[in-house]
Amino acid sequence: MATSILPIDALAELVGDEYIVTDPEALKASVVDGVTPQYVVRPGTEEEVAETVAWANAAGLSVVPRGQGKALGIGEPPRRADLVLGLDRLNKILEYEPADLTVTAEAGVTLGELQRVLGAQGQWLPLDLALGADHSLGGIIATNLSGPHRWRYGTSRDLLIGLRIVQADGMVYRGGAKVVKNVAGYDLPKVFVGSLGTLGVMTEVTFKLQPLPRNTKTVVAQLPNVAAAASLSGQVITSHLMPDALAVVDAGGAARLHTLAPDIVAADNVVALFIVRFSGISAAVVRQVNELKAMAEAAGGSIVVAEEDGALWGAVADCPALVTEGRAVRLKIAVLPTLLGEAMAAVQDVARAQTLAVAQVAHSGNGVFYSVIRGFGPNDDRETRTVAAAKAIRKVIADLGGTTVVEHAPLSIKSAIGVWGPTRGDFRLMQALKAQFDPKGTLNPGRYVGGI
Amino acid sequence: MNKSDVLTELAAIVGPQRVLHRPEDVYMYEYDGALDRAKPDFVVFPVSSEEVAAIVRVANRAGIPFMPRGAGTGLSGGAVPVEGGVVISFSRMNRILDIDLANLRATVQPGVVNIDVTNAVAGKGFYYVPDPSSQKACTIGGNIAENSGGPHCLAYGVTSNHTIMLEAVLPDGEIVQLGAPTADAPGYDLTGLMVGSEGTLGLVTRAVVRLVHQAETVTTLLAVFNTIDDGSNAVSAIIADGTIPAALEMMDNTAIRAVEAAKKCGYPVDAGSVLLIDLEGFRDGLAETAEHIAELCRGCGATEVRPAKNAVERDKLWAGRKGAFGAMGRLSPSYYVQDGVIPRTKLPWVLHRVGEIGDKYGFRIANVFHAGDGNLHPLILFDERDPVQVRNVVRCGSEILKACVEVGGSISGEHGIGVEKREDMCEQFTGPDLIAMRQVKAAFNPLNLCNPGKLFPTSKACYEVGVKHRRLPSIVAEEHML
Repeated sequence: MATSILPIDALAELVGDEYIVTDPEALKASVVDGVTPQYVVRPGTEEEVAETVAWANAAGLSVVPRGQGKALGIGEPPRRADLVLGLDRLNKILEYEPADLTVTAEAGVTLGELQRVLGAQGQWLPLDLALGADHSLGGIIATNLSGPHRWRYGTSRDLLIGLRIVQADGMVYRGGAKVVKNVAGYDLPKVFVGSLGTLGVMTEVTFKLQPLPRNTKTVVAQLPNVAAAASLSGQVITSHLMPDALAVVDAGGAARLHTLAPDIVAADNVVALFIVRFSGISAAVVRQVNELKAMAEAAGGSIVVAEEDGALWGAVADCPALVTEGRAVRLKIAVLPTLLGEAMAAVQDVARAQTLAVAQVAHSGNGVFYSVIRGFGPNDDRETRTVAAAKAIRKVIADLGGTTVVEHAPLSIKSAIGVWGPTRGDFRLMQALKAQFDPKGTLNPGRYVGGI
Repeated sequence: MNKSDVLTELAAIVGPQRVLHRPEDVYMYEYDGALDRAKPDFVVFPVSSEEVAAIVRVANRAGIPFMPRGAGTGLSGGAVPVEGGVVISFSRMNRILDIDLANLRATVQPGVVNIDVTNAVAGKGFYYVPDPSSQKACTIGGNIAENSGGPHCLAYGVTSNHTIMLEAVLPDGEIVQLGAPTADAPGYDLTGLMVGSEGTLGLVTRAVVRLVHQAETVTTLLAVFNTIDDGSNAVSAIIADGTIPAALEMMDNTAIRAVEAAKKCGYPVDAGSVLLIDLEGFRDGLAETAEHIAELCRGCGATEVRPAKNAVERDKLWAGRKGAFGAMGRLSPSYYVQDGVIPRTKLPWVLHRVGEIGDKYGFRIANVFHAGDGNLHPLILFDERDPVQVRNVVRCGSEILKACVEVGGSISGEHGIGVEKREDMCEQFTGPDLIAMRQVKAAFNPLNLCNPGKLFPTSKACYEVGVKHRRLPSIVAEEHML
């Protein structure tokens, strides 16, 4: 390979020796899905990012952007991963004017750090993804991670208003703006949400913010089965109630929630939970809680109302990640809200048929749920059964008009299942976009939908 | 193909009754709600996606431009056929195809009028959120093209936040579904990219839009201030306080006078500025919220804060606000509206600047706008019959947009760029920013026959790339190549 003769020294001079790793032993810490890079470069400024990316692109090296490295397992194994581009040093909050309800930060800033600064002003970025504190903002956008509060506040798609991008050839540009409304030109931030770093490297992001919720109260209803819980969720979202967050949890998810919030979620015999949070003016919250209790009781539910509910919602958000242990597989599934109960029950059926354990948490108002399946029983065919189950689940979900993405899986299982599922009719436009933004296929080759 | 061949082919698709081509027939289609005018060669009225696709393929074969048209209420010249060609009117694709309340969505054709979506579901307690002032006329297809907003987008987001998926006819004539009906569909968010692309990436032929349950009740407050500054400060105070109203609109004295001259809506004509504030939610506690907001306003110098006593009073206040542009006729033969957005804390400074710029050119300017999200609408009053004024009013508008960009804002919050503001794009965006957008266009619309002449500045100088980021890589690359 010609790459070995490249003058990495020129880059080292710019970025600094201490931020470039070329030692084969040290590089093992930066393996991406089994592929060991030749370089890890951790630039400290946008300009250094641009120099690094342009250099790699010109040299024919592929680049894997990495924020805090927390979600690097999302995506197919890269076709090549020559240079891992660490963005963790881009860690400054650049502009924050609370009265504007917007913030601009470098892409490597962690969500936890951002929330700490915003929280001091009574505000937050309403993304409550699983174990989110250590994720970088750029990583969250690239992987489109979200949490149960998406019901009220939306996802990165709704909250991201501007960004700065380093293109594969090193060109640096801005998309969107720093103000909450902007229709000047194409809405470029949208196309970067969930694009897995395949179109450009984010260096700076601007978000809309929200005031922290006040006077929160949460209702936890135990229901006879997930279908009943999902149906209650459907009733709530089509009513005049105005919840912040909604979740449907099955028995496997509830068992873990119990360990995280033992005062609120019972230990045994919990088959299905519907959990809903309200905030705002006290009188309105109280009334909504009462109306919800009546609805849940009519559906056969037994009720717990939680006042101190922050930890519970942290647990609901984190649960899908926390139950993903060892050789477990985590699927992110999306269906229409009306099909949620049927879809979650179908996943349970498939898991049972393959003698696998399953734990599920749904952001029910949006029809999105996480299913974690895990092998038990005899060791010899666990992997085979897990793969078979994941494939069967993808099929049954596709029949319901939904999508299944493998968010976490051991490499061998991931390769056997495929991460993204089949492409749609608009795939050729995605290829055309990729060809325009990264014609040499430098960024994250092979990791994205349809082999992009 | 010559013009008569194109006519024959178009007529073969939609029938001769649904193709206009005589100058006197196409005359009505040379303008929209903005200043620019240009004649189309043909106006066609398809009734299906397949007809749209066939029309697009004919235009491709003939090598002539084509473009979509909704109701023609746009405010940036987006529907004006600046390079002629085929205008594809969606006025006959105006059916609501499906309403699925359980999944909070409706499937509509692009020619459906905005308010008709809400009217179709209001009886069941639902509505479609984006509410441009032209909502009784403008279409969903046009709203999607411009990513339209409206007063009630402050709390609930603009058109892109309410668009789930689209069907479009691509510039090469293929019918394609963009996105998926379910959340977080894998792949690039092409729906998000299509919304606000002003018909330059394809023609939307079907849309799945979000429906939202109406709040139980709404309280409308009118807060009266002696000065624009006091009103502006109240906006910042409300936003910073953490209670985001459903709508937070501002009018200055000139706007108030025009509105009251046109019809009595109940605005105080001596006020320096007023805020029109909608608070939505449950009956329980809403009075408490209203009093809290009123207190914030009084803290910023409000001389009076009063709730609308009933639905009639509320509707009158809102009718005044939504009819404000039209009311300018009371003050001046013509108006030219700008649509800049600024950080909310910069309102006082920018509004002063707007006044100064107006004085410089000798124009009166009325301000009536979405204060809650910093989306200005300065209405520059002028006389369209005076060519000097027409030239100056455009300069005056550009200078206002420059002031918005200076404080970190945008040149358009909801009206789009169209023809009118395309040269102003260079104020907000650098060469690389525009090149990135051109890459998007090249992916969808490589032949540039789909709505040409829109959105992009024509000056080559706008696309220059600085050398700053290119030094090291190019040297290294060249060494390597040698």
